[in-house]
Amino acid sequence: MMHVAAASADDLPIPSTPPPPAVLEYDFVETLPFRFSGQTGEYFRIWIVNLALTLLTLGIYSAWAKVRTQRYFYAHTSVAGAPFEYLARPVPILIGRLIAAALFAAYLATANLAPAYEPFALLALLVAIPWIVVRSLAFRAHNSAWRSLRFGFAGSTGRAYVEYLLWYVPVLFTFGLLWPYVAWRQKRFMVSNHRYGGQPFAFQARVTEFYVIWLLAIAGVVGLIVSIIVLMGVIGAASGALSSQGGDDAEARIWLVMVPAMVLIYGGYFAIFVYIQTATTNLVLNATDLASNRLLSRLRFRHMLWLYLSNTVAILATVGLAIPWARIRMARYRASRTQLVPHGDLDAFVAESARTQRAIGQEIGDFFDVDLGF
Amino acid sequence: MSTSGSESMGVHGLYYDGRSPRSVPVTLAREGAALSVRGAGVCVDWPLHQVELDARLGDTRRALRFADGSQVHSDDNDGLDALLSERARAERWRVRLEGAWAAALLAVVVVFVGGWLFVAYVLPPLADRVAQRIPPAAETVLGEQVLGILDRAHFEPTQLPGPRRDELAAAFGQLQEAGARGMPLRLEFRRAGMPNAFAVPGGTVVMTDELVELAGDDDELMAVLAHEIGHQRHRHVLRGMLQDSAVLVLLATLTGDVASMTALTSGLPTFLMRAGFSREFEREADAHAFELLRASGRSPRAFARIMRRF
Repeated sequence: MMHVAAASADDLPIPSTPPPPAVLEYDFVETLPFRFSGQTGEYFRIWIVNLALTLLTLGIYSAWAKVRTQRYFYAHTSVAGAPFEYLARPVPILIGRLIAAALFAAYLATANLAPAYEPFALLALLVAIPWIVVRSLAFRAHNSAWRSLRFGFAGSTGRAYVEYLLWYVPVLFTFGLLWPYVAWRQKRFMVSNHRYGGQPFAFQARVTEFYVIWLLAIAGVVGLIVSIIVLMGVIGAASGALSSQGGDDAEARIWLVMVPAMVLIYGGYFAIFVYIQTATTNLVLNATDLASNRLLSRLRFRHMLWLYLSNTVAILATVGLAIPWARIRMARYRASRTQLVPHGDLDAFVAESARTQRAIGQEIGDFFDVDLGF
Repeated sequence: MSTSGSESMGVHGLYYDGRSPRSVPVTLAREGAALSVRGAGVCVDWPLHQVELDARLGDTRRALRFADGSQVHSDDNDGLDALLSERARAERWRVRLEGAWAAALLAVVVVFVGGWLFVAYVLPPLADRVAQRIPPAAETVLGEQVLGILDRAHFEPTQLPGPRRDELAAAFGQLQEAGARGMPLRLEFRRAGMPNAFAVPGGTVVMTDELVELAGDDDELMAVLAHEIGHQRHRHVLRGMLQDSAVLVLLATLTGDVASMTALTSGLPTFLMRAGFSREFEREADAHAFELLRASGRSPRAFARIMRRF
């Protein structure tokens, strides 16, 4: 047996993230922060070059671009000194995207050339969604790894049909009252079917916590409607006074009052949407645990609102060039507000037997903009 | 982080056996056609054809993957490239492109210019070629469906008296004859709550009662109808829909890779582009209408007159 002079601590290179401790064993509760080390300058160059190549290849390169983007964000996200890995290959993604494009074109053809049949096309799409959800989750999980072990998703398509299709029927019959309950069921399906290192994730949230978010959102909507009614009353009085002065000027002045009102309406709904997103992400992550290791998520609503708004303004102002900056910003904030609360030996995980999944599921999910993650 | 002596010192990394998340610091070295991995409790040589190396991505950590599932993760990208120089050479172009600001600037130009060229010059002819392939019968069916939807949702039956409708239909027929022959167009009347006239695919032009009431004389109405005949003859509605759809597909493909923060950022480009297409179509329709009106002895200026009434 050959032995080279044993590597000592002096020989170790200086890695980009702190080296992992020799043994990952925690006797007391200590939190490990997630770290995001991506840089806007570096990512902008990767992003724009990939975009140009995608355009020049009429979209074929988009699968490779996707892999590089995901690898970049995964590799720059780390916890306990170890970065994540994205392991998907471009070719399965390309095949999935071509199929997705064909389906999308078929849907568009129906919508434009035979609009009477568009509802049927939409129905077919809805029926396919649970299948798409399961394939996407399985593909992403299987192609994500941490410290060389892959994640996994064990949810069955049959169960997905129950959670993502059947349960909407009672929601409709109760005029939406059951929606938070169904949302809880879906998150539970998603989280508890994920696996890592031979262990299943567990979902500890209670249904009432979903109802709290929902009720607060409803209260927000009610408040928004009330303020809109009040504002409309004011506008009505104001524009009445303005238009009585007559002439083209009146119309311009009315618009001057209407525009802020529309901003308030869109802004209000946008803010409520951001609140629901933020609160749900926190709730789900905080309720996720893996063999007693827990996650801690402390996203703040006003930070997220500011991030979303400023990102949107920047993207519009720069005709899209600010997109890399916006993504880095968001990833950095999310990582900074997420922590791992370890319990016991983080080395005690074991690899699962390999299962290959086809790419199709996830790519169709992305293409049709089905929201699948947190 | 890359030192010129790294080749003699070996490349440092963390070895994973593929079954547990525990890692062992190891040193890699190239021994001819094999890679040697040495560390505490790790002593193995791998022939190169059983070694996979992740593509380089900036300075991120990447892995060497061995045939038995074990891996070595390393941050020493330059060292890894030196170890497996043949593979590094193959993908050097991409690493260079993604690393150079000059390439990034060039890429910005390519994206904007290429995108604009594609949407302005490639998509419309493509969409038009598809439009030509669509048989007139299909267009008629489409038109019937569209009109059916509009009738159910927006329109009420006309309240114009019969003789008046016949009069206008006759004038419309004369207007058609003055121009290029095509499929016979039909004039339909509806009450819609606002003055309007528009072309429906398949040969129908719809005119609302409110427009008839708004017009000062029949010359004005014929001017509007001539404009709509222009839209029909050039199949603008169909071409417009196809062009819109093509832009949608293009944006969807690109934004599938690009994070769009709100619906606004993806809806705005489509809206702006549609405004551009419409101007082109309006010019075509105006030109066609001008010819029709002159040939049938009506004043083209009537169009400006009725526009001012809105």
